[in-house]
Amino acid sequence: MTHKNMEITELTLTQILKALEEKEFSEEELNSAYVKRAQVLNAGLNAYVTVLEPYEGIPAAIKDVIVTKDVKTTAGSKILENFLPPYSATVIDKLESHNVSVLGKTNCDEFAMGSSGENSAYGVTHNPWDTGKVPGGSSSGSAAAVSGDMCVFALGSDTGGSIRQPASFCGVVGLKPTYGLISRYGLIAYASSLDCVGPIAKSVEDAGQVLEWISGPDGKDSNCSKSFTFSREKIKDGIKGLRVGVPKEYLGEGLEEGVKETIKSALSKLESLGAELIYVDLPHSEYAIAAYYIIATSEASSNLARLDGIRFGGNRDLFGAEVKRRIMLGTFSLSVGYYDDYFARAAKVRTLIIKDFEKAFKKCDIIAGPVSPTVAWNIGAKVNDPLAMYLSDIYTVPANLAGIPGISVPAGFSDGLPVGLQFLGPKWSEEKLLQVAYNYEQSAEWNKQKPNLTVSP
Amino acid sequence: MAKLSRLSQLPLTSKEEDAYAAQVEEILEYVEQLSKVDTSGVEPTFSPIDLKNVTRPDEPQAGLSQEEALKDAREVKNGLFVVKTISSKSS
Repeated sequence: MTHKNMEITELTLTQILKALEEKEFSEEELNSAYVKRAQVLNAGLNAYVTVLEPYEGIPAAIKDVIVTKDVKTTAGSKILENFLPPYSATVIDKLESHNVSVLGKTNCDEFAMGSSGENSAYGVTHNPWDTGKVPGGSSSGSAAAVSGDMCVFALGSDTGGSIRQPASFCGVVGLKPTYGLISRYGLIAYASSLDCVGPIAKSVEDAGQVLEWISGPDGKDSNCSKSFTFSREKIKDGIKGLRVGVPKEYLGEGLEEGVKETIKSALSKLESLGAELIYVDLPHSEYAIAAYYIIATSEASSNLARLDGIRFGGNRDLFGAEVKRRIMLGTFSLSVGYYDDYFARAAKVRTLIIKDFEKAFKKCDIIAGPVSPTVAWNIGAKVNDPLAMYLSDIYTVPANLAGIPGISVPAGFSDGLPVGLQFLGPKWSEEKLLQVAYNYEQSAEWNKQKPNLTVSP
Repeated sequence: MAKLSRLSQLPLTSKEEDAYAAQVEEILEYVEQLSKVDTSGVEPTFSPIDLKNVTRPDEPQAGLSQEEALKDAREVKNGLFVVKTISSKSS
């Protein structure tokens, strides 16, 4: 295989690993190509908070909520402006043991709270497909960096859709794994019963490679104790006879027409690949947003109490508006007299959402639907309307509440902007999830399209 | 809002208090729909996986040195974090 006619930065992780093995280029050439592109494009996209200059290894971008020893980690917040972590997250140690280098730390919504990449103290990240649009959030910089070929792959975190939704908006692959599959040691906590670390990549196979590298038990995260086997070769098996469930609730009211058409043609594609489409019901989905914003903010109000300005970080008045809003909402939900009506009730609705999925997965192997009801919106369009912003997470939060894996795969375009197709599977079904995603991706090849970004020589 | 601001340890200006009051109220009105769901006899879920204790042999492992643990602190005195006074006696 030769890539002489392609720029190094256009290659996928899988292609790069092979090219390095065949000595088509050196690690130094690889790094210098990515560093240069990242530095040049960052001026317009603001995907990175920090760009380093590695000269060896596979250059990856890391969301700035994942701590990196002695490399500034801000979580997109003023409060951690000067924070130099004394240790690295387990996922960073694992990546480094597989010859991955940290190319930079990516911009994100403050403490991973946001759906647009606009809630960062370090400025808005722009969508590489149209710089007037948001890249999605909260892993805004990670998705934009992968989309703009400013890194080989990236890590993000997904608490309510923060990997899948920006991957959808930026036309790349984003995987939220099963809760407990990847260690969160060193992930700055937002909502601990929902938080997951996962890859954002240029292809499904790349996401599978990163998953292999970073998954597995870790004594430093007690929720991550189960051993996990995953074969990257198996994802290439065909999907004839696979039962794909389509939730009626995911194609109903509120779904933009262009997105709906794109998803429908993706579903037909799956059918032509031999999958069997079955309609399933997720009747409690409509309550997912309400339950999520009670549970997530309650957990956040407790987690963010550690930012006391004593051991690290600045004073609490440095928190941005959205973080303050969520801490207050969470504090309210947990306070005496309101706990039963808010937090406890949301936790019960969460049980019903889990049961919906259990029932649906008796009828089908994998669920398919949209990632987001719309494509990327204009920067600024929802900044003064937090509820409208929350509602955009309608199709992604149920997976977090249930702890199941989900992936966003490019499925085409609406109004010139990328649309993501979401697959959801039962817990620990990553192999099957990536198998259906891989089969779809290979037949459609949407991931071969790139945004038009000019880098003058 | 003043009470929430105190409970949350978030100093707010009165302008912020007004803005948040309206937004938090709108969000609470939205989540009110949860009361329509019949949750009688439903157990709450606090974690998506079964929580269990994870233990390891009680052998010392390397941790952060005192210097590393203190390096991000705003104020350090005699190798310790400086905190606000939480109880005082007149003297």
